[in-house]
Amino acid sequence: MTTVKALGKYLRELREERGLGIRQVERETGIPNAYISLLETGSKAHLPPPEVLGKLAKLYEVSVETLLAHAGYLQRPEEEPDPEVQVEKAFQHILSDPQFKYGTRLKGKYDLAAKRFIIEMYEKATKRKLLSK
Amino acid sequence: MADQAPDILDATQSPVCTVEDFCLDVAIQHGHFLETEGNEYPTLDFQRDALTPEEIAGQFVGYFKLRYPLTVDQIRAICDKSGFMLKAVHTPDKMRGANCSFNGQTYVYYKLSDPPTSQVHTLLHELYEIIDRELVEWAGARMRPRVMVDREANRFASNVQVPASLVRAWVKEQGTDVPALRKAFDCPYATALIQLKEGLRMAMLAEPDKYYPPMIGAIYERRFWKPTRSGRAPRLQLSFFVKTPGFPFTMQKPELRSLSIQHQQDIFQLHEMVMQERRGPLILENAELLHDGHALPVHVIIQPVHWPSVHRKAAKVIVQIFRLYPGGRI
Repeated sequence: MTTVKALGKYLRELREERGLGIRQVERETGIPNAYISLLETGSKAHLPPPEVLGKLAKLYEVSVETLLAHAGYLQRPEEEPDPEVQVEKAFQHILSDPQFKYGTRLKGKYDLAAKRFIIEMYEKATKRKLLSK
Repeated sequence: MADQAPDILDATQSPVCTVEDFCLDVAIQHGHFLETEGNEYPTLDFQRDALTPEEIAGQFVGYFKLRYPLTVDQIRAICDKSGFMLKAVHTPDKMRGANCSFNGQTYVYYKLSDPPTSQVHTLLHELYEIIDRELVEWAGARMRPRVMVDREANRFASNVQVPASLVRAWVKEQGTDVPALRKAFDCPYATALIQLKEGLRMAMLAEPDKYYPPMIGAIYERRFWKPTRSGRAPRLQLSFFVKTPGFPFTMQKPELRSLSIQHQQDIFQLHEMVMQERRGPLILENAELLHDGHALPVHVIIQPVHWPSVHRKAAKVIVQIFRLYPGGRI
């Protein structure tokens, strides 16, 4: 997958995890919805400028570095593990913590987005960091 | 009922009612104290599985003196008193809410973009999960399966948001219209339909000599949270159905789709009638429900629910089929 496509997929995941529509993102960031759509489908030939990524990072509550790294502006450490594996590992850690109890109102099974949300809850409640942004 | 200003729990009111106190109250009321040799104090013997979500819901409504229609503010007041951290946040698409407890601190999250009626349901769902954990501790039992607690939490939330005992009284005065019931209790359509069925069932059992129409109810909806690739509105899908006693057959989802209705000389498939676009309700009086070799006299009401500001097509369709008896009325 090209960097542009991979970035688009990641941006879409972030938006959907937060339950935001493209028009909502447009309202919050001022980035035209058509441009966001092109970014997410990987249809743009070139990577978006850092200021666009900055606005999206702020809205999605992730660090700008993470988006910049996905966009290829920053070099990612070569040994960085797969994010999905990281999430699964962190989730298993939570399941094994007898002090932490949780529940959800969820349609269907725990998918990656739901697990990530539970991990964020855990990090906030316990003040322990499980995932690197 | 919808016109009344809702009473919001006063945080300064005495005695302080917290979720923790409520759980202790439930455990004491449904358990009993045992004198054991060698122990200075009696121990509380409480069986968690002996209590249904409906029973807990009934006690919850009375304990916190809830006023109807329920509001997010009322639930927020309970959470505040109980020391829970409550926050409306962006949750993943399929997740409406979540809660967690760690080191005595409890956090409750609910979907920011949900309408208030759904937020109330979600908050009650989350509260039930917290209550269940507390009761399990009082019973000294093992944690219960998550799927089971999740289903019970929905039953609890429905019963607190729209108590079946109040619906029973409402049915007597107002009838059986789901949108009217939804408006009166300011609750989701699904909760209104489920509780209408429960209220009717209770009324039938309590007053067997009176006529309460047996009902089959169903909700079809477009899953807007699951956008289609083409960008078009998702198609209507059967979400769930309910059935009161009073029909001489059992039924599953596929059978509901294949129900046929004869009205005057025409025979229609219920599913096809639901799929037809219409702005207002379709009422078929004195029709016949054809199923499983039976031909039952029925009234059929198919009501579309529109969200005009968002979508041109009906967002939901509510179907109600009432069985008629000679001399009976709706």
